[in-house]
Amino acid sequence: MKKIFLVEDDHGLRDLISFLLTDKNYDVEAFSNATTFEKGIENGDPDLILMDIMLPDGNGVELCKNLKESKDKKVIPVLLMSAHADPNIADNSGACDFIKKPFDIEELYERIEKHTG
Amino acid sequence: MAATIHKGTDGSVLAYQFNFSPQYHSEKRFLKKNTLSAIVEFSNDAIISKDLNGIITSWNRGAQKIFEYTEKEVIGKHISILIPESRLHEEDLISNTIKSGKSLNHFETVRFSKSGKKIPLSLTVSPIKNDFGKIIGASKVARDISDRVKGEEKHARLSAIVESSDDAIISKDLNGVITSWNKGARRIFGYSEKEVLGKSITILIPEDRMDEEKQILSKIHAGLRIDHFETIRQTKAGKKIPISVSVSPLKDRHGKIIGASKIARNIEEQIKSKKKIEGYVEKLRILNSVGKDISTKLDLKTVLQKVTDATTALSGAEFGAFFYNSEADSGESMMLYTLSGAPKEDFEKLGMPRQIGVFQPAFSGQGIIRVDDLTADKQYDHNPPHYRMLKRYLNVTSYMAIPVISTSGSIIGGLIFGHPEKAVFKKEHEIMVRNIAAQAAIALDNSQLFEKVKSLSEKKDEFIALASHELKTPLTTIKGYLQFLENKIEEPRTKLFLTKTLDQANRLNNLIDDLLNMSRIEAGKLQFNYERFDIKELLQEMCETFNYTEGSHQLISEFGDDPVYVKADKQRIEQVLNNLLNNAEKYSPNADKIYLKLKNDNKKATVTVEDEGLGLTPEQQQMVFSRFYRAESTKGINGLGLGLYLTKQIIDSHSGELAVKSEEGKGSEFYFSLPLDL
Repeated sequence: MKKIFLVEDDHGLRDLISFLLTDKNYDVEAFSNATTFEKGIENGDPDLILMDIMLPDGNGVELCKNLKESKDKKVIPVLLMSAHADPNIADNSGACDFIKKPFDIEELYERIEKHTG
Repeated sequence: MAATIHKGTDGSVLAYQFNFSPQYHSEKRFLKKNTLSAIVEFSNDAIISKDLNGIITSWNRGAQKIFEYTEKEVIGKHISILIPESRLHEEDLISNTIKSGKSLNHFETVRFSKSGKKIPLSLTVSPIKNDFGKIIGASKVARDISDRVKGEEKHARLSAIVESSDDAIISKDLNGVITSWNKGARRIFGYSEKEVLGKSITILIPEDRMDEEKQILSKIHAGLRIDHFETIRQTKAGKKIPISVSVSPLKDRHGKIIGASKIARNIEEQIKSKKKIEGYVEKLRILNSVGKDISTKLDLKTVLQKVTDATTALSGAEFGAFFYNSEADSGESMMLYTLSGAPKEDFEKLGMPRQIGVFQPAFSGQGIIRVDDLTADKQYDHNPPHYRMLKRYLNVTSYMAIPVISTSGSIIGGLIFGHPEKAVFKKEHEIMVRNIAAQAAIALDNSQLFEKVKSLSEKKDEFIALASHELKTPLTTIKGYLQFLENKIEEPRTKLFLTKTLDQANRLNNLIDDLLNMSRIEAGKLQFNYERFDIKELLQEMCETFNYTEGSHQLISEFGDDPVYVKADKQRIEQVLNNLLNNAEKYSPNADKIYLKLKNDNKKATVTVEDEGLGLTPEQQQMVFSRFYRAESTKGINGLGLGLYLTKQIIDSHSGELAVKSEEGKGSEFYFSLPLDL
């Protein structure tokens, strides 16, 4: 079973994505902010991180950059998502992919499968 | 000798002296007497004899001619009838000389003619003796010297003119040796006449202009004049001065050129006034351009800087500053300033300009200050930091401060000017700066409004970006659950309802995008990601999707066979096409066909979307690309009026063209072109 860390501050969306991915047999651990995620990732070893960019206490792009600079976590693929209007917002973050909100669920499944497969 | 003839320098007879001596034979005496009488009679000079009492005893024709009296009229009369009252004393002198046996030679005086005309004369008076040597009278020879006197007067007048002239009047010979030198020449060049006579004119010519003298001399040799030649000469002290010189050949009485006269005028003042005029012209130019600049520019900093630069230049100040009262977002008052001619660091040392004594009146709108010497004026020295500090950091002696007051009466700020020298700022500078300050006040009022609008607009854009983000998050959740259900549910009616709900969720998403894009276009912040792609392929894909989705219309395509490459933002072009296709569908409710065509003319790709719908009137065609415009006939059809506006902005940003051909009731044809990427 593939393990996915989900970082999303919006409660409704966090529930939906958790539900959608669990339904597809992923092991989902959800975080609502940067702080709890950073704690969780210390001892965690997910197959993919699905992370929102605009977080209340941090920025997904920066979090991703930090991960890519770390020794043991840099290999974990990061899939960033945002409802932000700037299509280039995830450029230079080191993320493996970017998905724009609102997305089609098929598109979400496809991308996750691609980067965990 | 019976008579002594006195001759003048030109050889003419001036006087005859008769000696009646007893040694002469009486016959000879008689003959001589006759000869002499004839000479006397026909002389042009007046030859008169009188007795010791001054009574006229003889009067020749010359006397009649000069004095206009006939012999008959004057014989027996006293000689004083010829003498002006003011000169009667001369007669005493003459008669005393005669009585002592002496002659009076070439005595120049004035006598009256019968008609009262004053006649300048040269008199020679000799005693007449009888046979025994006793003086019995006097002979008087008077020569009219009017012509000579006139000549002398003319000469004196000319000399006086030459001497008193402000211009240098110099003559030189053909070798360039100075032969005369007037006072004007002395004043201009500093040499005395004595110093320069006999010297070469080249002492006045700077080394680099020596060639000029050769040219001048060659013209003079040719008998030509040189008029108002402007050049530089040097004074005795070595100072170079600008002069205007006219040179004419000097000829002798036979017409031979013997030298040149030179009239030189110092045109230093003239050049100064010319420069002054040029200065005024330049000032007018600055005034004109600053007026234009500040009335067309709205950016606050630009207006402040333009006004500062222009007023500093116009006032002749060493430095100028514009202190501008402004309000920060927090409502706190603060001060901006622009500088001209002084480094910012010097000003920063002064601290808050508001508190500086000399600045204060300008900011509080008390009025204009113009001080010739700040260091001598203690009235602005109340509050520290005071003028000494200004003096130290900015070296200010002349000082001028002018408040800038808005049309509503509020104080916008103040212009201050400084110069290290005394008394630089005059009334004219004050008036000029005051006028610009008045213009600037209007421009600044406008610019303040503009700044406010700009800041409001920026806030609006920020808000729209935030709102769009906030709206899209729940929309993502809604879409997610709906899509999940749509996939799971088999029951056809429920499935259809879910599909319709999803369509509406997508529409909502597009509307949010349109709003966001509009605000970004307004702010000039819409970004484009250009890439090379085949627009035919894009059109084919869209065509397939359109026809695959069950709808009311069928899309008929006409693309040609070859790929057509453009360099564009593919997503935006897709957005453009979606807009045009959706419009075609929306505005042709009673038709069932839409035509999509692609043409390639080797320069540009033109895409046409044609419907058979409501069409547009010519007025509507004019307005259709405006923001929020919705045609009257579209009532009942939904929309914000942003689609075609955004479409036009996107195509314009691609250096393309978007246009419409339409006839009301017969349908519309929207087409856009993009440059090919060859």
